[in-house]
Amino acid sequence: MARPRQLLAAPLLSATVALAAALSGCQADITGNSGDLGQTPPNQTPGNTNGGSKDNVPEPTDWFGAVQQADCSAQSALSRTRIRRLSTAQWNSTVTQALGSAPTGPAFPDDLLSSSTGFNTDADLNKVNVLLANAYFDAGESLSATAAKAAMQAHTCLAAGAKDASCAAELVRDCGAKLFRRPLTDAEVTRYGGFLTAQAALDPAETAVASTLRVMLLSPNMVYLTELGTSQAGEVALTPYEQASLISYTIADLPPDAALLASAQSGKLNDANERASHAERLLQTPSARAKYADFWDQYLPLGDLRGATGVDATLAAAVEDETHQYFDQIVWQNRGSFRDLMTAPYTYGSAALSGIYGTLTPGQNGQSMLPAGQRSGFLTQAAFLFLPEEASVPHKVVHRGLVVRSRMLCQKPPPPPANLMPTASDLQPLGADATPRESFAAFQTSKPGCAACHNNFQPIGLAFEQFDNMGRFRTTYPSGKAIDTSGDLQGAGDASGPYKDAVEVAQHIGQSKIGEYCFNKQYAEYALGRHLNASADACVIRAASDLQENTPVQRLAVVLSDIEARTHRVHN
Amino acid sequence: MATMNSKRHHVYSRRTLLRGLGAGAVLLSPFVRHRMSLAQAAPAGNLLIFFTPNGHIKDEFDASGQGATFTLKKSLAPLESLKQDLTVIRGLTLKTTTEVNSHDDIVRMLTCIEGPDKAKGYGPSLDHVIGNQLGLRPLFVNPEPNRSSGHWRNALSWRTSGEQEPFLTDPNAVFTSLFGGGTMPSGGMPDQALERAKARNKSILDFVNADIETFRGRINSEDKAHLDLYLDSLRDVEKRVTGSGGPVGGGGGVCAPDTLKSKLAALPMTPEQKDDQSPAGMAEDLRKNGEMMVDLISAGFACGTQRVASILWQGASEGLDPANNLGSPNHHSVSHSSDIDSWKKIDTWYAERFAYTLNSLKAVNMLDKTIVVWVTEIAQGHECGDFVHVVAGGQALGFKTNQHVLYPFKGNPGDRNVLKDPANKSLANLWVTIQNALGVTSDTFGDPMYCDGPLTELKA
Repeated sequence: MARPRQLLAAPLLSATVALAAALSGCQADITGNSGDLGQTPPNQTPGNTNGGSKDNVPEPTDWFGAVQQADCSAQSALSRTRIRRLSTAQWNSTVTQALGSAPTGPAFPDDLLSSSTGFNTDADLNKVNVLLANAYFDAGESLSATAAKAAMQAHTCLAAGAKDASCAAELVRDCGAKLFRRPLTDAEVTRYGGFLTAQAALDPAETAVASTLRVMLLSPNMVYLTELGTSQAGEVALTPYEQASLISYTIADLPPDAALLASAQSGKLNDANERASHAERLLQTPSARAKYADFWDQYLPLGDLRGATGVDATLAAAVEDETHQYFDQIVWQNRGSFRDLMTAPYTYGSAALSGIYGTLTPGQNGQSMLPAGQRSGFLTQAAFLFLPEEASVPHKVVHRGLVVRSRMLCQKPPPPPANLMPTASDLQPLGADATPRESFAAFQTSKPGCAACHNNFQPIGLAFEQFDNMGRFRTTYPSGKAIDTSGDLQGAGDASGPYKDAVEVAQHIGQSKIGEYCFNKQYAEYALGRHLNASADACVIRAASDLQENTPVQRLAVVLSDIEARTHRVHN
Repeated sequence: MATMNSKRHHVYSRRTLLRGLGAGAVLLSPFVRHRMSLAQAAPAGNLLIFFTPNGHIKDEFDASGQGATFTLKKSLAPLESLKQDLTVIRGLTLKTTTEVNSHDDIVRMLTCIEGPDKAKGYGPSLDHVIGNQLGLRPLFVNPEPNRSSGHWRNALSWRTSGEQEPFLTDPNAVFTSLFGGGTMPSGGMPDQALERAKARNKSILDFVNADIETFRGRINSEDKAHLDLYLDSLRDVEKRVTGSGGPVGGGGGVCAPDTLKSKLAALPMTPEQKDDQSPAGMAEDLRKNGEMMVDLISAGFACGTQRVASILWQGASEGLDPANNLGSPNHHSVSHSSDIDSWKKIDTWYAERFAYTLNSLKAVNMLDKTIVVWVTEIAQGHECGDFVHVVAGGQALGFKTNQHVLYPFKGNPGDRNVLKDPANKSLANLWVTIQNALGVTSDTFGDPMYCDGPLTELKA
């Protein structure tokens, strides 16, 4: 289920993403009590919050400070109630589970990528647009024919009694519960059942059943994941079925299965142990693994080697496979953390990788040990380092530095001022023969206004100069000049400090809280489908890390799904 | 699993296309009736927005001389025989850029409203402003997208604030959108069964519409836009699957969409474009697919089934180099390189497509009733000031052609503050001129602070 790679270079270079302006550093915090999942967390009860919604909390200037300082024992602002359109993966799994056959036919349009989070899961952005509505209609038409046949066999009364209200109700209750992930209300049974009986007066029973299934597939009750509770104004608890859905979709993009629905029906999902046991079960499904892989594909701004000038197809495939295997092995086999992803001295993959990395020594459990002292984790892997041959030197340095600052430290530099968009020649005032470090020093002098901001990311890019466009290690430039990769990482919370090369940059960030929280934040933005405010959501960001130092990446899904399921909402 | 757009789903058989053609007059949905009544009130006319990316080399993408005495420069030479049908405008300026005026201003090019999120349009774009007035949903097509709908690079058309209009990439889907058919039942179905299938589709959609309204009672008021867009989208589905979108007549041109079917069947199967590393050799496919889209739009205008359309040939800050027939270095890379000749050749290649477009409209007797405007997202460098626009057709709507209009531009167009200088003429004025000719009476467009009324030079 590989997604197309998004080369972030150009968007980052144009760097016009609006940053939250300097706002007052309100240290709001939220529920998301981070107690051990094995103990019952204090469920919120109506009336014990300050009544505010997260929407009203300003973004802090120093996101890391806000997360560190948050008091997670206190109650605070709640998220609002909301609906989210099922993602394409979720729609497919829901229909497959409910109707017993996988959707076929034309692909749905891609879910939309958010410029705020960088992920395609944003709930506000992803609505049912005209292309998707047409695709839903067509998919329902083609699916319902087979599904109606199966329904006729499962509900034998239909052959003779589709016009009969009680027989119609039987079908509607059964299929509705599967597609809507909850039992239907009596009023709904009457409405959908009424549609079936009306259609049965005009069409053969099987066609009428198919039409009813088509209606249910297009129903908002199918299309949207709800976090509405009773929909009463003010603070509301989620319904048990909403809890079940949130746990299941958040972890694995799956609809709640029979076991989860049974727990919901018996009211057990307010019990933390019950939720935890379902979460652990779901975490073992292939779908959970696929969902993490999808996150990884979207999180990493990778260059696409396939088809690039001068890149052998075998090597391109090996590099792409390496990054997937690396993440998969560290997260699932090693139960590794963000620190492991950033600092592993080994990789996984085919022998073809030695074309970039040099001699690979076999290590334990399928690991390939990288040449000592040259690399550290995924920031020094070819898939991350690669840039097309035609990318200019300043482009490469700026791109690498910006990605580290914005994606690994969650510090997006502000956009360039109105009339100051530096060109490639501004960035190389001494000409193309100067080293990038010499160019940058001259740029700092010739364009001090630009440099004030470029100082935040361009030196980080220089730390990666020991890797060429393909990610091959080198110690000198083709001109023979030595490469100096040293520097001082500044304004990066507890990752700040001097470094001698990219390996140390990766280690500083990999061993820091700011790096871990930033990774947590982005995973949460992906999984919850919304931008996280570092003040209002500080305890969501911290939750997994507060439970366990260097928390395994696979715990993030479990902890977040639990917070989502147990936390109240504000309805208006 | 349906996660990727694959190219060219030929799901519409020739027979279903034929079936769809005659159906429209029988089952007119309320939506279409509404459209017709408004269409009668407004002056009959059409708009086609022709977008190509990455600006132009203005030294040669312009005209010399002024007024009626002008000469097209080299990059516009393919338009020589159509000179009397067009106006070259030099000097208009987008006032409402984001922090940096650059490629991402494709988002603001037809909306003319500023906002904090560079990837978001803060209001309907010109095509939707006019479509709303006429009671129709504008058509948006992309003959060969690098990226799917939703990416800012393709975000030219905005239904409303924050809601991008997705584009169609399959010419068969464009045909269906204009002339009905689509997944209508096929396979020799008797007329009675066909009518029942349409009625069934209508019942399903009526029920779902009511279902959505019931659901609305439960949601947070801040999520209202979700259901509004779903309902709005279902109206489009209805038009297609109840056969209510067939030719309604009144386009005023030569309405013969059947003639396009053999051309539709002969379209190339095109490999997927990939960001900055598309394969070489795709220019011919782009040409064929794009010209097919253009012919379909012309037919839609001629038959009166559509009146507003946009074609986005390639996305902002990317795109094939069609002149050299290369995927990489792409059009954007060429525009940043020292290879000025290649950039000019790309301008010429698109000028040939623009000429094709005008001739396509002429062939169905629609050019004088259609305003065609060539839009790009930056003028030449990374700046949104001192553009060159080519506006063609529309003589029957009161548009003056056969001229070169010059609006003097003061200052460095790369400076955002210079763009806002009232001395520099606002692009929004061109949009006012166009909307007025198509029935929108408002004398302002976008942010009223940066619009001071129609361009009198364009009025005959």
